[in-house]
Amino acid sequence: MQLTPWEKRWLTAIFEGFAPPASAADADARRLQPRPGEVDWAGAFVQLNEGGSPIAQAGLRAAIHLIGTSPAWMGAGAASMEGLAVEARAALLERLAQHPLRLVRELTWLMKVQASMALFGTPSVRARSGYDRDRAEKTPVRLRTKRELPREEVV
Amino acid sequence: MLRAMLGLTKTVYEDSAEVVIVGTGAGGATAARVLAAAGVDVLMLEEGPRLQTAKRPRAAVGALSGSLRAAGSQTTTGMAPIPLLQGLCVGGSTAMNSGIIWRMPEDVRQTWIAEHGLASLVDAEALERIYAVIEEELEVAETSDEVLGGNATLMRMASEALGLPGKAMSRNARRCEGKGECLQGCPGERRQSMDVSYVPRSIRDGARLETGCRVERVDIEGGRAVGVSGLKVDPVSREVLGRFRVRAQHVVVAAGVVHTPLVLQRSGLRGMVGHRFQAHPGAAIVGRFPEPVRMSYGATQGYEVPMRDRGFKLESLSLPPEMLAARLPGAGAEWQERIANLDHYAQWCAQVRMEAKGRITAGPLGPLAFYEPTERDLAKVQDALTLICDMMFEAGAVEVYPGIDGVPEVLRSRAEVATLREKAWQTGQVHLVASHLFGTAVAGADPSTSVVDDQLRAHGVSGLYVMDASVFPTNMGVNPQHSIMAVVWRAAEALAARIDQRAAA
Repeated sequence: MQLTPWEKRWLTAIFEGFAPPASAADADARRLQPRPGEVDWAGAFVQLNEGGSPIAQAGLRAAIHLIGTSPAWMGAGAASMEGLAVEARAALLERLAQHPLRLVRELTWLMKVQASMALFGTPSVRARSGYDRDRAEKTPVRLRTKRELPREEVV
Repeated sequence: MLRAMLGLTKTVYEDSAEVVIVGTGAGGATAARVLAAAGVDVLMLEEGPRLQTAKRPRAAVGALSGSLRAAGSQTTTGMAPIPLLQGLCVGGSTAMNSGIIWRMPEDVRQTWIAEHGLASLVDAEALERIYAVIEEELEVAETSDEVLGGNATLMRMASEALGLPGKAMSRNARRCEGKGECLQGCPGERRQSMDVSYVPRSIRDGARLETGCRVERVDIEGGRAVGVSGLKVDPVSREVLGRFRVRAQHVVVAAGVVHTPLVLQRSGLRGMVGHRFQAHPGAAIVGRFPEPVRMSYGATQGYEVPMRDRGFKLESLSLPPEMLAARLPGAGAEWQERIANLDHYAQWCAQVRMEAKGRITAGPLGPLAFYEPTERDLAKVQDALTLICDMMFEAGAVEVYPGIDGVPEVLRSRAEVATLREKAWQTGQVHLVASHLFGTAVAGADPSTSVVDDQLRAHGVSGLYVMDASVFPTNMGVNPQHSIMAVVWRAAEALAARIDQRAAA
C-alpha cells in the first residue's frame, strides 16, 4: 500500500491528534506521550495494511482523505488536519467520533485503531507502557483465589 | 508486471500423493493426523507460511498481519461489515485462537441427526472415543487458578456474585504459563495449536507439507477428483511465483468456511455450495478498575459463562495493549491519560449464537460474504453486552466503556446500565467480530440440501471430501474447534478404511 507524501502528512497529523507528541524535555511518561519522531506513523500504517484486501485498503485511504480534510467540512478553521494545533485536532477527533453520520464515526474509529497499533507497535513506547513488565508481577493479590493465600493477605 | 504474467502460466511445482489435503487448520491437520497414522501417503497444502511461534512478533501489528487472511481485513458485505477472522498460516485459525475446547452440545448433535440425517457422523460412542484421544493428545485441561489471571478472576467473582453458571475454561494448554499471548502464537508452544501438534505429528508419520500453495480448484475428470491446481505464491509476501498441480487419488478440501466454497465453486460444484453460512459474532466490553487487573498476565481466555438458553456465551478476553488501547474512549490528552493505566482494565466479550444465515460467493476483489444479523440476533447481543456491563460493576469497576453507538461512551454506575436497555439496538450500533464460522458446504443425507454426505464425501464427485467447519449444518453456541476435529477424525477414519480395503483388494 503506497501513500503519497501529502497522505503521509495527513496521516501523521491525524495520529498525532490522537496521541500528541511531547518534547524530549517535557515528556510525561505517565501519559505515554511519544517523543517527536519516535513513532513512524506512516511506516506502521503501511506495514499493518500491506496485506489487507483491496476493499479494506480503499476504505483506509478514504479514511485518510475524509478525516484529513475534516477541518474544512467541519468548520474547524483550517483546510486540513495539518493546519490545526494538536489540541484542536484532538477536539475535532472527539467531535468526529460523535458525528451524526455513521460512516464518519466508523472511519474515525478505524483511524484510532491504526494509531493505537502504530503507537504500541513502537518498541520504546511499548516498553514505557510497562504492559509487559506487569506480566512478571502475575495476578494482583486481591484477585488471587482466596484459598491460595494466608488469611492475613486477603484484602 | 511481466513477472506476474509469467507466473500465471509457468508451472513451478508438481507433485502427487494418495491424499492431498487443502488447508492445515483444525480440519485439515486432523485429517492428516488420522490418515498419516494409518500409513496413507498424505500431502498437506497450505497457502500461508509456517511460522515459528517463538519468533513470531509479540506486537499485534506484525503478529496478526502476518498470520490472518487479508491481514484481518476480510469482512461481510453491507452497511455494517463484520470482520471475519481466519488464519492464513500453517495451523490455520488454531495458530491464533485461545485453544478453548468444548465437546459438541447434545442438543446440537440431536438436531444434526434428526434434521440432517447425520447419525453416523455424530455417533455418540464414536465421538466419545475420539474426544478422549484428542483431549489426551492435545493436553486439554481446565485453566488452573495459577494462570487464570486478574481479568478472568474478576469475571469469576462477578459470575459467582450474580449466581451465573460460570466456569474456568477447558483449553488445549495444560502446561500454560499465563503469558497472555495466545493471539500472537504461544511463545512457549504450550497451547497445542495444529502448527505445533498435529501438523508436525503427521510429518513424523510420513506426511509432507508444502506451503505457498493457493489452491484455485479441484481437478475433476469423469466425475472423479484427480488432484488440485492453483498458484504457487511466496507464503510471506504473497507474490505469485507460478502455477502448481498435484495429482491425487483423494482430495480433501479444508480451506475454511470462506474459501472452501470458493474452491468448490471454481471446480464446478453448485447447489448448496456457499449457502447456509452461519457464525457466532461477538463484541467486547472494557471496564476500568481501581486496583491493577494486569491483563498481561494469565491465559488469554480463561473463564466463561455459558448462557445457552439465552443464546450467548460470555468469555474473558485479554488483549495486547495496542488492541486494548483502541477500545478506550477519548483523543489527545484524555486518551493518553486512559492508556497510561493499561493495567487497570478488564475486557470480557460475548459470542452470540445467531440465527442469521448468509452466503459466500466469489467477487471481483475477493470473497463476498452476505450476512446480516436478524432483529432477534441483535436482541441477544444487547442482552449479552448489558449483562457484561452489570457484571463489570458487580466486580467493582469504576467505569465501563460499552463501545456502542447511541449510548453513553462511559458508564459510571450500575444504574446507568439501564440506558443500554432503553431501545432495541440496530445493525451497525455494535462493532461485531466473528471468528467462529460455519456452513457453506453442509453435510446431510439429502443431496438437494447439502454438499457432502455423512462421511463428508461430496455428493456427485467421487474422491472429493470436505473436512472443515464448512460441513456444519448449524452453528453450535460453543467454540467449534473440538467438534471440527472430532467429526473430521471420524470421516478421516472412514476414508483410511476405504483406502486400506482398496489396497487389500
